[in-house]
Amino acid sequence: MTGLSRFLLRIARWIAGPQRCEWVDAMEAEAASASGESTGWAIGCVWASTRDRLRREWRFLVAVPLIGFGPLLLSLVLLFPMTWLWHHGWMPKWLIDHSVLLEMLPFAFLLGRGRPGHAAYVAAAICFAVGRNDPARSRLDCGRRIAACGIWPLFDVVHVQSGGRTDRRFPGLARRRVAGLVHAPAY
Amino acid sequence: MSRSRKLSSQSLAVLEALSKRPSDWLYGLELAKLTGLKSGSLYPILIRLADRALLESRWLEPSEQGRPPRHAYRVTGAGLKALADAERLANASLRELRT
Repeated sequence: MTGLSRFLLRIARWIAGPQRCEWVDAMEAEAASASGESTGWAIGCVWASTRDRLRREWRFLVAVPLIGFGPLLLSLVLLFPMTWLWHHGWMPKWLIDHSVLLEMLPFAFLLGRGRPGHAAYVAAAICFAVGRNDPARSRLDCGRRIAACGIWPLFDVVHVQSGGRTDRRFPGLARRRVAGLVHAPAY
Repeated sequence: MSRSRKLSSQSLAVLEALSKRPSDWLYGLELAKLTGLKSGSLYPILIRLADRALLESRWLEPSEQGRPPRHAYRVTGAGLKALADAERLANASLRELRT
């Protein structure tokens, strides 16, 4: 088996993910037996892994841009009551300006529940970028978006729980993954 | 839970190749040669058929030393039945076209 074949099979393994580990092992074993044709076989394996991954996760891939419009809709829904509160002096303007930080949390939560781990975090960032893609917005808004991405893990949540494993740093608290955006030990 | 979706012609070709030697375990390379499919098409089909329990797979020790174990495949009873059903459907369609 050539170095190129090995490299391609590593890519195939990465694309296929841990769920299909056995199948990539099977492809690799055949590539080792396909003397002279291993590169062609390995290219096919990359294609096979891509097709299989897309077939398994197409709902999630479609959901990412669709859910991205959620924060936009929520901001429209919240616009009138928040403006009304501000108009009557019951809400400071900075809170309205920075409400963008909270708008995407329910959607980040949904994505995290659907697909825990770093992939959810990246997908949530993409979803937010899609939903808030307004070229007329200022650099400040761009900065707020980045800050918003940064605060998601803080909301993904360390909370008090009576049962379960306690955190060494905070005895008495139990860590539990709520949205699934950050990796936490399974309980 | 497996879905009862219609099998593609390529999936049927794989099942047919396996059904010709129902008691033998065939490797991916052998199946590729028998069906004329490349690995990019063959493996998604094998994965789907295995998910639907139409074929079974196992790791076999290699005949030559220094080679890794190879994954081999064999058709199941459900696979043979699915193939027979597909043939019956195809024959019925042909008869309808002729009449």
